[in-house]
Amino acid sequence: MALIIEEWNVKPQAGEIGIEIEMEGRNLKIDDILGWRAVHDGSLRGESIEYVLKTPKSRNKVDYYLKILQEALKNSWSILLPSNRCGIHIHINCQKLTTQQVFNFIILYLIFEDVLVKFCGKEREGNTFCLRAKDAEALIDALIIAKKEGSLRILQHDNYRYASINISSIGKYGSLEFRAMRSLENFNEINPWINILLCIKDKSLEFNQSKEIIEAFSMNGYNRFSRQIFGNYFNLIKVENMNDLIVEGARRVQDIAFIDERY
Amino acid sequence: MFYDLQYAKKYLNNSIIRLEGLPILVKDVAVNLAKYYFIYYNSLPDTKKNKIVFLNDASLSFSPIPLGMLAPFTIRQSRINTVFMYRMPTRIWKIGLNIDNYDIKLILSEGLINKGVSYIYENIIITNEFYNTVMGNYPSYSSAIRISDKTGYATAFSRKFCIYNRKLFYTTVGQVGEIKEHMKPILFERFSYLKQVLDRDR
Repeated sequence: MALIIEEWNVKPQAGEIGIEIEMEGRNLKIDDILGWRAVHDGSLRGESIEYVLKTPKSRNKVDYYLKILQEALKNSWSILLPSNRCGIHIHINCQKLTTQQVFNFIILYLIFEDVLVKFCGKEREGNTFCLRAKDAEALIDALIIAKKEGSLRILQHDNYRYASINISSIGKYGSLEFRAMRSLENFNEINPWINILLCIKDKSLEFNQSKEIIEAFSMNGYNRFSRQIFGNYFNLIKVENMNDLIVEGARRVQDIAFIDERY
Repeated sequence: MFYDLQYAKKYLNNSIIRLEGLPILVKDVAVNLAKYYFIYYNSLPDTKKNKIVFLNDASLSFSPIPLGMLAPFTIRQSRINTVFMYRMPTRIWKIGLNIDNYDIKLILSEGLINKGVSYIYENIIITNEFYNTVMGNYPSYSSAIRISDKTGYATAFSRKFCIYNRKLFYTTVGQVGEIKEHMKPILFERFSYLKQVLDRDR
């Protein structure tokens, strides 16, 4: 079974986490930040910058690089004024996963998507830059086709890029991009979000076939299933009507999960 | 929310958003002498009258509008179709539904389509069926069966399901079951996982 790196011929990366932080403000530092580069982003307004990790980092190094960026901005008297135009995008390296494993990662994320986007910020719900599958159902339709074909090829298009989970980055970087988090002034708060995404990735690797995810959800119920995945982070993402939101999420992805695997 | 007038125009012109829960088509955004932004819009599906609302009106909603099944869908009278409409997470800077960020799938076509799907695609937003889909105005399950039996056309009873010739269709997936005696829906074995969704919708 081919790995993503083999199938897509992307540039090999050892690190697991990539980060992009969109920021508006004043006196924003643009150079000499260890591990980071600053790039222009056309969707932002006024004085604005997107801070991008130069290369993906391992999960235990992310905190270090976030602290470096925070310190650099503080020391240069940058004033951070994130608006609803700004977001934080997390890339999770999937180069060494198979297509089936990536499908499982996507499906597990989409089950919890509603809950997770709420965690990311009220202004991110229905936001045009990070639409949920319930806002833009074309993603589900494309995933059904992709699953039938056994390839993510159909999703390698800008038509699917502004989803809360951007699958088109698989063909570019071999990563899944999670676009839902609002921009924060305190970069420490980014860590829990990254860890939540890693919980999903790690759990998804325990399943062989996608339908096992739905079966595990049905067997365990939402509470136990969620706690198994998120551990200590469960209480952080807990919201009102969580059960209903997750059940709806599971219903949304079951058409993808129950398609006969072609691997 | 909007940085300046050009920014607001770029994001909103020719998009469908909602006012008091009803879909409206934004024609333009302007600013008055007191520097209040306002929107010129048309109500849907009747686009004849131009109307105005302030951009900060609390009853405006910029959230994605709900879409789904349009059946029966009539365009140019003689063409009866079943269409599933959805939004795409397209990389364009638009708030609301716009011709560049929605797509349709023709599920069933029961009449001639001379100009094909592209004609439907371009004109769908000014139809009554589109309005009813946004508003979630569907007949009940039993009414949909009766209407379908009487007219011979596919008839949707929710955003996800429609009935045609006593066959049950689901989103873009296609036929997932049949309607048996006493209007009882029977899902095909491989779609039995849809039972809860069907129970909710009917």
